[in-house]
Amino acid sequence: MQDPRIPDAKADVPLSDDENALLREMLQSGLPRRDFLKMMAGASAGVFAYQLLTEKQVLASTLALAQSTGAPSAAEGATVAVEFTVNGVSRNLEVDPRVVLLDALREKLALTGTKKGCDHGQCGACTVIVDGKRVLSCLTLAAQVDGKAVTTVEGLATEEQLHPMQEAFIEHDGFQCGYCTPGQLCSAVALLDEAKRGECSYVTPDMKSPPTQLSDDEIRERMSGNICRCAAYPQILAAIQSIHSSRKAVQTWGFASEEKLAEIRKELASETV
Amino acid sequence: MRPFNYFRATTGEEAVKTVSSQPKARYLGGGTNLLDLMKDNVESASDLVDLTRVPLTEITEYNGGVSISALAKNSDTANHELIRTRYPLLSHAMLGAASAQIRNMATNGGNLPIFGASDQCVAVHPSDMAVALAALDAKIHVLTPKGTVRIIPIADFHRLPGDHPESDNTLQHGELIARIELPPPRFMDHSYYLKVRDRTIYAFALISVAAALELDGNTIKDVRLAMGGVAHKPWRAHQVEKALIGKKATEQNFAAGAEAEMKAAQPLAHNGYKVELGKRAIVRALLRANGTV
Repeated sequence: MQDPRIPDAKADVPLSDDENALLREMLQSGLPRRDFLKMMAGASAGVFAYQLLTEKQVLASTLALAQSTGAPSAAEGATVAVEFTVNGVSRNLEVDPRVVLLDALREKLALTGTKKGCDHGQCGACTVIVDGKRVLSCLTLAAQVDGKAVTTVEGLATEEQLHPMQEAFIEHDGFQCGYCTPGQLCSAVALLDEAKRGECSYVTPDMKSPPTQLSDDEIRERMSGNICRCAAYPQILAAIQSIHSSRKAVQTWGFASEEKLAEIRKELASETV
Repeated sequence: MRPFNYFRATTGEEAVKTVSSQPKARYLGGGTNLLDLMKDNVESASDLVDLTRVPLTEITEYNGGVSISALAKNSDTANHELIRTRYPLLSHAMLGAASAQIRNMATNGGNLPIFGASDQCVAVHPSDMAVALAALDAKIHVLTPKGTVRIIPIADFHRLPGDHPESDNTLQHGELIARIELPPPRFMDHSYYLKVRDRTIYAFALISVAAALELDGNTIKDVRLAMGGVAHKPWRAHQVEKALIGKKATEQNFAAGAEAEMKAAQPLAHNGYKVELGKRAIVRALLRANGTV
């Protein structure tokens, strides 16, 4: 029963204790087997679900439960059809209504560029662009983007070259581990469009006249929904500013001069503790 | 998340009908609050009615003021020319909330419900938009399951928690916020939304103050002041307003007004700092609104 969609699925690996416990819990739902399997597929349970299929014990249990319990509620096993474009390509998905856009992108469409950071809308790592606006894909149901155009980090570059924002991030060293970076890039790209549309922020001095040139503080405020634990913030700001205004951000650090170094060495040498 | 039946509503009436027919059905607006809580099983729904397609998104002139549809996004609302030019206080308050991404997703209607405070519960409400709306005397238009429209002044919208802190506003099950009505604008030139928080961005307010002045020279013709983070509903600071009308817009007068307002404060064991903070925040917000700082 090798499913070609799931490479390297090992049909005969026994379930661990945790998986067994989880399995028993899920079987409490009392679904008919076909609906259960559809629900597992719809929820993107991936390889684990696949392993379930091969466990004889599982199949027997689901059948027994289905016979003993009453009809399940309409909710369980039901899926919703979602038709949308991702990076210019039209996609059709059938998903459990609970699937969020982030998981649909990563698990169903193998677009793993968008990252799951907090999964609760607080870090911005999952930022993608929907119909030209930046949103959090972890708090968007896949079903909500039906009929919409989604752009992920994979869609920023063209066949021939990187997006100017990506180049700027490289040039200005705008990342270390890179985990927040896809979200930063999508956020930054959308930010530029917001500025072009004349959108304001909390730090805009006069709401009645939107700024055309964003100050460093404006960019910081507008990017504040994207957290970076590696603290690449100054460089991210510099990268965005270089694209937005074609000027360098004010550099607030510099290498110590030889005189300064000598001074410090002298101080350190005289310390007794 | 617990499983739910998913419906895409195409009209407000359709949505109201579906939700009111199921006691555990919920509306899905932007999802920034509901989905977050559903992931932790704090909230759940038997049926989820997605409002994404419902055409309740316009922001238009209305009765000399402005009508803001409930399903317009926070960002579109805050940046709409009518709001920015006539009610900059509301723009400012909304732009101080959450993050850009969340503002792009969140609906106006979803920004209004709040949490309660009484012996049962001491949570303060988190909505910045609600504070500005309280200062601006907004009215909430609600679609009822009977097909009628109920109009609720913002001051009456958030109920006192009393013995039922889990029920935080006067909406009945199935009722859907359709629009927010703002009266003719008067405070376009001197307003400020001050938000005091542990860090400079993306956090709920410890205390927030929506301040708006109508000036005749240096004399205060009219004033509006509402506070967030101090009570279970946006707190209209009536004492300050009374104290300031007809007076000169000076720091001294602002401070006296703030003193009067915070006299009634009942701090708990760990938030006594908010009394002093509240006084200073009121003064600072008024100074900002006045353009002094």
